[in-house]
Amino acid sequence: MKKLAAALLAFFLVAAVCTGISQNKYYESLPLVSVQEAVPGNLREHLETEARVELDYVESDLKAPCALSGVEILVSQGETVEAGEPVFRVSPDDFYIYERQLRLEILEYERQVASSDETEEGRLRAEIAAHQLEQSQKKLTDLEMILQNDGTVTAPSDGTVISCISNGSAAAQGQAVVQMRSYGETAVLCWSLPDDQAAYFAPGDTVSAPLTVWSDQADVPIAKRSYFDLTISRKYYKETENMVRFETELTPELLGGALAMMNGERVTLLADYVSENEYQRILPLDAVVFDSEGSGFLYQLDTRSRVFGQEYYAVPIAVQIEGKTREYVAVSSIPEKPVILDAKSLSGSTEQAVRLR
Amino acid sequence: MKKRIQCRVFYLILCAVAFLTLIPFLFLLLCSFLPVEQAQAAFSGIGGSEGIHSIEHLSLIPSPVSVDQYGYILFQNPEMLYYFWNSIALALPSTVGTVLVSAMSGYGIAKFRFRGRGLLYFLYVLVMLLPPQITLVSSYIFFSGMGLLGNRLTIILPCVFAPFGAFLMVQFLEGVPDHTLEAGRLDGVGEWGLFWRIVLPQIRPGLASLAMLSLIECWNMIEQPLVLLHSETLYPLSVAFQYVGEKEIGIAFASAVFFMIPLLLLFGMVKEHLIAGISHMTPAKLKP
Repeated sequence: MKKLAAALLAFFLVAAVCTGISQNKYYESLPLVSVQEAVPGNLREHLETEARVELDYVESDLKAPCALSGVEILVSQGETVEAGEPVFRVSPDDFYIYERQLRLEILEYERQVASSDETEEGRLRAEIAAHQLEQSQKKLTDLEMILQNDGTVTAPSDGTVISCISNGSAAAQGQAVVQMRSYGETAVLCWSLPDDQAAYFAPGDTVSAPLTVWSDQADVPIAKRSYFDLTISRKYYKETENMVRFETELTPELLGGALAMMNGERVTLLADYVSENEYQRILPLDAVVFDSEGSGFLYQLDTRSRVFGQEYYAVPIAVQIEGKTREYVAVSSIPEKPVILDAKSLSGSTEQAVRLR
Repeated sequence: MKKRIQCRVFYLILCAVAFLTLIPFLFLLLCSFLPVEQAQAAFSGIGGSEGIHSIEHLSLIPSPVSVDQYGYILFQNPEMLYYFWNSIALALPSTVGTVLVSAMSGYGIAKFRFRGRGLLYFLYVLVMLLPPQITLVSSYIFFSGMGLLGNRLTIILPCVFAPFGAFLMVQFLEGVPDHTLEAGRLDGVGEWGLFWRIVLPQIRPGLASLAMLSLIECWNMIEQPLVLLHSETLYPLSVAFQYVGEKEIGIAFASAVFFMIPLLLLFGMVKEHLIAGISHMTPAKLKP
């Protein structure tokens, strides 16, 4: 009898040890999940995309008034120049013939204006000659200005050099030697989104953007990176790309002072969409699994009593989807229990044990 | 000579019948040494259209002999062990409680003279005659009213206060001579002292029989846990076996063998007391 009692005791001991071992092994094999309460709220969408700064501008070309040889370029591409600043220089000798041609043209036009008769034909010819006279006089004035500066051509207004011919090369009459772009005071931040995402945003919504600001108050422009909340001013559909383009105005007043922004500068745009409807239960989208028909279900966390303590397990529940974004989903008809976020790590539609992170 | 032959033939028939009763156990034991995959492949079709024909080609002698099933239930998945411990959690307190309560109530009925004693004993016998399935509905309503549904007490309490134990104890206690109790009282022993020191040692075979019978009843219980426990995590192994599906069929045999071991060992321990107890219950004219 004692031997049997010892055997029985040993049996229970083995069973207990084996339970411990297999329980540990089983526990380690369970999927690790995080949980979250479904709380009331609005659908939110956090969006991060790339936007571009577009300044309003006027392009102006500095053209060669006559055939030029050996043009000395005094600026480089991308450089910002102020009005009156030297842009390129040529030898005054290149203008010798051109100056005389202009003076000759002026004399010719003056004679035509003076010799006009009272007939209709004579009156029209006189008007054309007067116009051409004015053009030639202006060209001569500009040329005299250049000659006074020993052949140096200056920038007519503030702007940025966008292209120029290579230094020392020749230029034909009328060819653009330096192309300049003069910027206005307002800038636009613009970005595009695919159709489905664009639905989240409308003019009047606020987006957040980190921008590099170039202060023109200091002699040396100082770049600083700041975040600004900007209001979308314009939204329109771009048919060719199936995209929707958004614009928001950037003004010195909006950004807190005078600034000169770099045209084409790329910035990261952080937008936060919040729906107007407040739903009863909002969850991250990861918590919901959608089947092939688009119906959703989630896993609710519950506990059950085992011989050696409590065990967590996931209970699949079908839910009604009220609305969703790429990050959040609004659902209805789920009990007040925590919901498992890593729904995709669980499989099947049966209850299954899980581990909590 | 003729009588001897007749006797041998009779014994042969008895042996054959005894072997027949052993077939399920042998089948279980042999199948528990089949590899998991082999057992699964062989028995998974048994619930389908093929029925029993699906195992026609199964060799009863496992080849190769494998302890995979035991390894799986002991070291891989604790599911069956959980159910095993659930069985222990139900059977152990039930048995201990039954023995204590039955011994006390039996002692009261057998050794005390009070008004209504005969009626009380008759009611005990009457309730004992009712199968548990009959009282299941009323038990359900009763425990539901107490808010105990889904609790192990719904199984333990009816077992502890089952009338069969008291009935059995009355049989044994009536065999305890009254003069030993009188002698004890004359020596100044109180009623508790009489019960613990004089009565209980004399009915030890009865206690062992009752413990074993009560344990077997609780161990093999199916309907009550199914109706009253409400949670799969509380079910004993006896109930869990009915959920054995195609996935678990490969480990069901080893689980069943594992489930039998404690009872076999206990039976070995109390075998003599149990036989003595059962023979005590047998009318004198039927005793050998």
